[in-house]
Amino acid sequence: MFAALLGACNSDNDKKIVEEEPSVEAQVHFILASVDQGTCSIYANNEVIATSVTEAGVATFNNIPSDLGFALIECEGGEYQDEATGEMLTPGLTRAYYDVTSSTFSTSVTPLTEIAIQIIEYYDLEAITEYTNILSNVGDAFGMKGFDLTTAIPMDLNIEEADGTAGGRYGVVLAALSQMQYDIDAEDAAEVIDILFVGMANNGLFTNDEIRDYYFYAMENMFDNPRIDPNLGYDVDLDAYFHDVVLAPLASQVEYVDAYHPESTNYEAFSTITAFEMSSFDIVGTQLSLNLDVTLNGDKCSVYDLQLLRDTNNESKYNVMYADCPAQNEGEVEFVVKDGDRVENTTIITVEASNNAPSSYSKELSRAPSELSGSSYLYGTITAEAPGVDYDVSAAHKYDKESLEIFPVAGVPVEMIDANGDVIATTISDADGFYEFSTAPESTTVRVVVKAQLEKTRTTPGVGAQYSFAVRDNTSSGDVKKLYELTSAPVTIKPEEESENEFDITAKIGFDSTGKVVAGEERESGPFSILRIVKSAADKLEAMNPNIEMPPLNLYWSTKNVATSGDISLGQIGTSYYSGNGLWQGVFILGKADSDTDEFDKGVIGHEFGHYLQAQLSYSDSPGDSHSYDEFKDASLAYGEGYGTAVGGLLSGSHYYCDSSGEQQGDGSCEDLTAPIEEGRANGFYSEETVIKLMYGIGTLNGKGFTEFFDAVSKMRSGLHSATIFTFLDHYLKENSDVETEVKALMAAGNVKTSDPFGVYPANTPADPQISAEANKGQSSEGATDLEKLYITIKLGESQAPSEEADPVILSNNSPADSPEFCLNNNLPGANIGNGLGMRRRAEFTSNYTGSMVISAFTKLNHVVSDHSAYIEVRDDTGSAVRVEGFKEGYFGKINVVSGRRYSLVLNVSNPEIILKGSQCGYYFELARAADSI
Amino acid sequence: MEHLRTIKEQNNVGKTHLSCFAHISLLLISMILFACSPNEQKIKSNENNASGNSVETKKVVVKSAEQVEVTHTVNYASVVDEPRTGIWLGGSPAVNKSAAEIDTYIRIVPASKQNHLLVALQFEGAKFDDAFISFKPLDGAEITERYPTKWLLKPHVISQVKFEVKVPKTVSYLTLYTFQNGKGAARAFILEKTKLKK
Repeated sequence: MFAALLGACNSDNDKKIVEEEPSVEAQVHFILASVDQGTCSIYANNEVIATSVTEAGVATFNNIPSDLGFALIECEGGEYQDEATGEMLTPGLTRAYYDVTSSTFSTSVTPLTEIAIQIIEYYDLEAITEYTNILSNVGDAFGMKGFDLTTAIPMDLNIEEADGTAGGRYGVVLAALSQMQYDIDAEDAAEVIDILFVGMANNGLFTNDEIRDYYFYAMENMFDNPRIDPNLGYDVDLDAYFHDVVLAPLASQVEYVDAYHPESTNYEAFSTITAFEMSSFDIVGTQLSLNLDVTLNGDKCSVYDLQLLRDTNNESKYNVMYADCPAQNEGEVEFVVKDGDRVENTTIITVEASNNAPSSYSKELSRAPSELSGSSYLYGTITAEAPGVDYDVSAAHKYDKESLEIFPVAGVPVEMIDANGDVIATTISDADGFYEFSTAPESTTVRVVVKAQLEKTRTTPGVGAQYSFAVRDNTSSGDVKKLYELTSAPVTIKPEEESENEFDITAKIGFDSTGKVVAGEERESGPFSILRIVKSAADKLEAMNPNIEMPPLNLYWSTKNVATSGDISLGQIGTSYYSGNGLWQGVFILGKADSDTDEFDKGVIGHEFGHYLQAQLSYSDSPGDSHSYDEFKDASLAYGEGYGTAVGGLLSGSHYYCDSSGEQQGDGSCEDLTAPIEEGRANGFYSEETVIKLMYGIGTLNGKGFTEFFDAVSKMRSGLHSATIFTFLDHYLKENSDVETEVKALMAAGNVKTSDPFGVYPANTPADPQISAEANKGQSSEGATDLEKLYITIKLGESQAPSEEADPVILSNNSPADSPEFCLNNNLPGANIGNGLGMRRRAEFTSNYTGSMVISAFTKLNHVVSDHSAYIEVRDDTGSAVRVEGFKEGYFGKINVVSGRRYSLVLNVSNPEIILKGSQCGYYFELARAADSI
Repeated sequence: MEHLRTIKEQNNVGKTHLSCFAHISLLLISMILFACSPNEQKIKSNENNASGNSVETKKVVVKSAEQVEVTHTVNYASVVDEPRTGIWLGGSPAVNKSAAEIDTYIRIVPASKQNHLLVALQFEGAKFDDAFISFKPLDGAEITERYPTKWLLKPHVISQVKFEVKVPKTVSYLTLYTFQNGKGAARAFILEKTKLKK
């Protein structure tokens, strides 16, 4: 009977099952934390095929077709408990894709999947082919390397403790995003996603360290959040999480590609090249690498010389590298930069027949010659007004009549023009600003035009000085920026032949007696004030070397030039600075009244012009970027900036480096270049302030001067050494041994312990307590022990060249004798960026063969140092930069070496975050011989 | 639990909310009152602002527009106990404009009226007793209420000022002068809503 009953029951149940369709469930987990009462929809072909409301974060879908394929899932609304605050919040639209191949799937919709979709949309990528890879990279970027984000279901750390699984890690990531929302006071999670998205490349990796930092700080801050901290799980898992985030690569991002072409203006990227000729390009961007695959119309380009985009404006964080590409036929071709399989950038390049077009420089508008002429004289003196400054009191400008300085406008082109603007005659003003024309047409009204330009052109090759310096308005329109000119009021020449007509001209300052801008008046004297400093330098240099040749330089100044970074053509130049590569090369000078205007600040102009002189007539390997006096910086940075200020003082003839600023230019500061360094401030080869005081002191030694100073500076152009205070001292003392005692006294005051160009100290020199391992250890158990060791010496073994197919043959063993280890360190004040002391390491070696060499560096764990995080520069003993070409992954690049020649290489760490806890030792270089034919 | 404190400086982005702008209006009023009273006593330490912090002032010798030295009473900027929250731009001054060694962060959000912006400036790095800042809108921008444009900074603490500006449709700037230890330098900010740009 019992069996019969059972049978009857079974019979009923079986019947029921047979009558209903089998219910098959799919689950979509809508998680910021678990979202309740959110609505999730699954789309196919842009139509909703199913909708479900979440309970405890889960939306359940029945009978989703198993062959649905690649489907969009959208969720929004409902409520979740924010992990950082405990508040109940409503999520915005959050999406994911899922490739449905079964009706019983389980996936999640989270802020990470939304970021992946936003990347797809922004870069107009194909979702079906790209989404999975991008989501995987998003996972890597946020610390989920190796986990599948399509199947991992995040834990809700409001109620669960992370357990080390994929879901646990995912939960920790989402908790960090919640913390970030709290940290940055974001309106909602969507704002957090928007901010993070800004810093992400088209492959889902971070390309912007600054944005990643917001996430990173949130990771740290959530440990102090009592709502989150108890559920973060085990230290070992969190340790792995932090490392995954830190070690996730930053993606390369190309900002612009600029073709070399005679018509290029260099104010904006140019995309035209000449047909049937090899073409060259600048590639500018962030996280660039010589291992990027660069092609033009499918033809591989040679990529070389990755370096920081060098300007002295600290807002610039870009890299630049160069590409030489095969000749092309006329038409349009694609210039493609790929990072592995990822197309990072495509630029359409126009290839046109050679048209012998004039270069942009020769497009300068010039006036037509006039047919008028006469026999009368027109002459006078050209002067300009400058504010008075009591340097020993303050940097404030004084504009009252008694204080104004009137200075001669010397050495500039002066034109006499007729009523049509055509040129009757041209001359050059003399040292007193005097000009004279002897062909002034009688009874004719003329004007005098004074150009803000200094120019000397040789008539015999190699004989005489040659240079061209022009002050231009960067905010003017056109291919060639406007050269400043002062056009006089009209003057009518007397009717008598050979009459004398005196006509003085003064460039007005354009400020009233209190320093307020005079409405409607030009600030005429600014450009000539800038040229005054430049002429002082040019005259000194020409006196040293009558046959000196200096490349053309534009100095850009505008009354709109303001100390904020942005669009240079609007005047947003950031600060006064010199840029030697990229777009907008030249010296840029601030001009914004009531804020900061530098055209009368002689020291500032001398400093920036000094950077130009260093780059063109000497040698600079300063990495640039942010710096200030009391910081520990790389020796080349400290030298470059210290030299700039010292030379600014020497050129302006004042031991005060003054920089006026503020309302009505009534504030600012003056630095006494002769004052001793205050106790407790950074003082040594790594200090900009030390270099200033030391070099200015040397430049003003009794019986010595600018000639001896700059002779040593210019000698740094040869040799393999970095440009450091040691190299300068080496050259200076070799030529000026008669002041060795005085120089050594200055060195002692500056804690500079040697004049050896490699920075090698005399035996038994006590260690510098300012930069000892204890002082620089920061969060590490121990700091770098070698910050006073400027170079390591690498010894090469012998090897034949390998075959093309074979791997390069290692020439330097990781041993103290062959390739000594070195430390990287960024813990000292001011050293936490790429120009800090301990962030650039130098090595030197002598090649024992002629051929190809490849260079890499490794950590103490034998992990290769990524070329996305660091790059190298190489110089040989003639002073020539050695071209570093892309080789392949794992190597910084390849160079050609010559047997017996000595080389130096500098490792530049561009991503300080690779140095965990700010200090790591055990790094070593590896030099290897590559096949000669590669 | 003390977990990894690895490679980042701590607290560049803070973890707690600051007082909102609603509170600031009361603070503004109290500060304006002080600024409009040139003969205040040398140090006012017992006044309270809306946040409960005392608002201190000090008489300082400054130069007038005509470069004549006059004595003014200047407020101390309010001290911020907690780190910055939200997206802030700025930071270290430009390369050769860092004489005062004061880092300035700026956060600008839209105000309730069109073309009005709420500006917050935060100052970090004041170490000396003479530290001060002053600012001025340029190119058509103007401060909407009467508000002091010069503030003293207390050493070894973080300070903030907040105010509202009306901006024109064209580009306008806020110029900022920072000074301490006898050295000053200027910088400028574009007056627009703070945003990160892709």
